[in-house]
Amino acid sequence: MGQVITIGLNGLTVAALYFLVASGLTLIFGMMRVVNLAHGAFYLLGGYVAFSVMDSTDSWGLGLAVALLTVGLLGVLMHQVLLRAIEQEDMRVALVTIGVSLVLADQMLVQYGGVAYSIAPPEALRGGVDIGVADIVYPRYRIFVLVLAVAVGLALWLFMSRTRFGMIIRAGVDDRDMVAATGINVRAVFAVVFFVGSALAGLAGAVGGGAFSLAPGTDVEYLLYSLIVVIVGGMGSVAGAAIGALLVGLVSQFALGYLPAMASVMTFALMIVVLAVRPQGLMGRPA
Amino acid sequence: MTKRISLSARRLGAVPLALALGLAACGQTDDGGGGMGQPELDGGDQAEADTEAEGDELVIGRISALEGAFAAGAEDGERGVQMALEEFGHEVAGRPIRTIVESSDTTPETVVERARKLVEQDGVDIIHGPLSGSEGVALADYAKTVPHVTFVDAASGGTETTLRDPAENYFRWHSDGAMWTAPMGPYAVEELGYDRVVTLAEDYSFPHSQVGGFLNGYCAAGGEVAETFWVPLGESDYSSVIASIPEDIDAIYVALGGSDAVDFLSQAINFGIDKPIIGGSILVEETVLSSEGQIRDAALGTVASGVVPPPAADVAGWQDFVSRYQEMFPNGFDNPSHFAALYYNGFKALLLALEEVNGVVEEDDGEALRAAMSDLQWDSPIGPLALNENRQAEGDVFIYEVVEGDDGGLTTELRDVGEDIPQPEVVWERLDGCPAP
Repeated sequence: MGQVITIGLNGLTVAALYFLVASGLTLIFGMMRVVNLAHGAFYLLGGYVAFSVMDSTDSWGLGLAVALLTVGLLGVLMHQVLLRAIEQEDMRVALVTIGVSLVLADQMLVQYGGVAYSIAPPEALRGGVDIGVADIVYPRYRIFVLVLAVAVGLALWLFMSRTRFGMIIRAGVDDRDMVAATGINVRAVFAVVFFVGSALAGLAGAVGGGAFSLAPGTDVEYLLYSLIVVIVGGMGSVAGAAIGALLVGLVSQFALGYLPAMASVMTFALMIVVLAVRPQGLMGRPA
Repeated sequence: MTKRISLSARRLGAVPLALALGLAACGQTDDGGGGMGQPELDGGDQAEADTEAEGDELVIGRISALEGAFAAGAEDGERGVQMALEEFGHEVAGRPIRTIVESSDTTPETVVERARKLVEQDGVDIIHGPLSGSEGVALADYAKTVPHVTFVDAASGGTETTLRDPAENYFRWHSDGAMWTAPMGPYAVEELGYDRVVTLAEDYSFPHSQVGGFLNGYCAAGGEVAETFWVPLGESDYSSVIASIPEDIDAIYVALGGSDAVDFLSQAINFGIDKPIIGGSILVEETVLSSEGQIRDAALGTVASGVVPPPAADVAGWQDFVSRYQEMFPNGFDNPSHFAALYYNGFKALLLALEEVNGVVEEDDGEALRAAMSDLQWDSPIGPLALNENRQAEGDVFIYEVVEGDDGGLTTELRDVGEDIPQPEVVWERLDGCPAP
């Protein structure tokens, strides 16, 4: 019993991290109709930046903030400098983002080398909490990740459904050209979306680095996971990212607990099943 | 130079899958993505490929797992090769040595593809590599198809490589993964008093060997196995595996390595492991102990066994090697890692054999070189080395414990030595409990 609950909690908390990464990816996709394949590199960069800042200032919060801002701004920079001129051409944009991810990955390898890094959480978030069921003591940090993801999810939902800006983004998802035709500065909207989406990857890296190690290859791993999450959930839908993350997190953790050798196969199997039954993803709309 | 360039080219290998997923998601099916994995994009290697071995230059192809879970180890392995090259002044028998480094990602497919590239495009006659167990098994298999190429293993430890129908042209100057853990089994029962354990390891040939070698001796000494856990290589999340570990055990035997080991050790304490940890050869070696991870509490007190002695161990030649490493690489690890030592040994043995045959390789399809290598005996930093009839080295294995060093960092201290461990007679597959006697 205790084991099932612990593994369930593991699934939820891993899902929380996947959601943080994938929500940024799906947000950008919703607006731009293109997958930012540098998203995984942004995750890793966020983790490394947070580590460096924490190492030199001893402030965990500052590390998180700097990682979020740095990666967010880098996202805007990438969009403004590299993608603006070609943003109507999906294939080119995808290729350019792959290029960016390769350059970033090698630069990070030069800077940080091949060793694995992990970020020390603040004292208050270390250790375990007795959750009061079946004598389970669960790591406080994992619970923090879960709470943070729920908070970010709620904030995104309010932002998208209650603000004028969110309304413009939703309209842009449906018909980019019509939004532009009504006199809205779509370029500025794109910049903001890129900032928020990339910043989420940076934040996820800084937070995820406290739970899992950061090393060369982490970038590709998280890009893959977030792609699976958004494909399962439906591209462009934040609610879909939440549901997709939940499914992928739970499936991967129960597989790890009971069928460890099959764990990676199971997540892909989940994606294949969803694609076969509902090609647009669980919350996606048919193209 | 070559290393950096081919690394970025290699990384493309992981991207097509991501791109394919991305395209599937976009609902686009045009053929634009199909060409992504094609060699045209391998721009970095083209310049190298044009300069076939000419004149007196001797070109040695090298394959190392510079990506993936063992990136840190592979990087340190490069330092070991540098040390060997430096000793010979980057030339042997008057022939300057040039190496072409190809990066693999610990998968058997990539390593064979890289070897093919080195043999078919670059025309090399000697390949040094790879790092990881299943890579070695695949490469030894490939070696049979190119009998004129001489292969020298870098650090891979799968038992199968040199046991099951071994290739005539594949040489391994270090003992295998099962030999490294063989003395640990009896030690765990007799000295540590652990009568019941679970094992946790990655699911590929090297950990199969490590767990097999350990359980073989452990069960023979009267130990019991509650359960064996196998996870994919590169798994970063051990929380659910840890939750499944039963309560009624004395210790956990962990044969993980690289970043997997860092992740396990940093999650072990958080997820409430209160049992002692004993381990395989690369669980607590230098690349893991030097990581920027929160592994201290879990790693301290861990007892493990391996072929590379602890830094302060009194082994002939080892202290010289350690201080030479520290001198040459102030930015390297505090002490040479398992990988630095093994890469050094393999490459130095190759250079010694080349010296023996006066640098003659191409003229006789490497036959003299391979004969010289089979007969070679030399004193390596970890003890005297020679090859058996399978072209496999045998040697001492060291049992050590993780302790706090003088500077407050983590280091290892020698506890026992298993002398002259022989090559096993069976290939250990994935075990689900004690091996059948």
